[in-house]
Amino acid sequence: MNLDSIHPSPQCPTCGMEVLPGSDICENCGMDLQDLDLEPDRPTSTLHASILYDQISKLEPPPPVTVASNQSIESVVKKMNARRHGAVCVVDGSGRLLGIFTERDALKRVAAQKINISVTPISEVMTREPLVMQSQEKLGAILNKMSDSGFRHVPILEGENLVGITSVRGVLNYIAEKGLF
Amino acid sequence: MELTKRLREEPIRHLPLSAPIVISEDTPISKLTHLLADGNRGCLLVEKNGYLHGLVSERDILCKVIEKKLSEDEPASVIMSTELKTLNPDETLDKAIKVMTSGGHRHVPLVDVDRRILGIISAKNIIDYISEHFPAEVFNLPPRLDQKMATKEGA
Repeated sequence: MNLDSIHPSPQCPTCGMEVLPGSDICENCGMDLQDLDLEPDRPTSTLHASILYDQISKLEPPPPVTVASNQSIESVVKKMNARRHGAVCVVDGSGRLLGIFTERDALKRVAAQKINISVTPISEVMTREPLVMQSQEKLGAILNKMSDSGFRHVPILEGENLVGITSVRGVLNYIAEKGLF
Repeated sequence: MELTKRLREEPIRHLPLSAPIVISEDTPISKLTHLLADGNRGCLLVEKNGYLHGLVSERDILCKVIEKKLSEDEPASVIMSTELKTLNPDETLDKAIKVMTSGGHRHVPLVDVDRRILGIISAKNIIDYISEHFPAEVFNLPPRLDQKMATKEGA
């Protein structure tokens, strides 16, 4: 019999790594876990539980629209409009995330400045090292990050791999489905 | 109070919403771009004769100005949307979420019965509300359904 199916491994609240039940600290990030083993206190609302325990992967973040860093702003904007995405991920040859370019960047760094969009590469106006999250982090964590940082789009990674992009609207859609309709 | 109930009962007017930037339909695009960028807003409301007439969003700038290379001297009326979903500030947050998710609207103007502008609500305002009402949980997520933090502050 597989014991895992009865007692799924708990996860570290900080980094999301699986930890052995009863561990005092998380082996991955060193978080102190000693105070966590207490009486059950299940949240009553599905929405509440969902925010606390659902992983970001539950949002089923759509695969991002990706572009190369040397593509012109014009071609990137065309792609964003055609695909109706508010953000694109700029990646290198091996698919590694270099930056993000959003409607907000378009407004601040393109429309409000006078630059030639048919020759300027996207790398000059993208946001480098954007906020990213891991797909096994919790919904509550992304809500909090979005609220704090003001970023509307967050690329989602699995390890080093870019697997999706989540938007404020994606999160809101999930909340609506889970808690309201 | 649990979250779903809270969203169903909290009126929009209880949220700390920023006042909208209101323009007229003959405002040139060059000015709109600067208002959006410098005012840190995702959209502008267009007023005509004291009533809500249209809305210009970041998306309109991207789709209609940057891509189509529209002249910056053109007026707001050329790019604004006029078929708008609106809400009254006395309506509840769940209603606002429904309007946003069903219509794909990131911003919804708030108006009175005569369509006079009272404010604006964005998807971000809702995210902030939910996030702020669950600070302890959101900051210190316990690892398992059957576990909880020893103190309010967590670790």
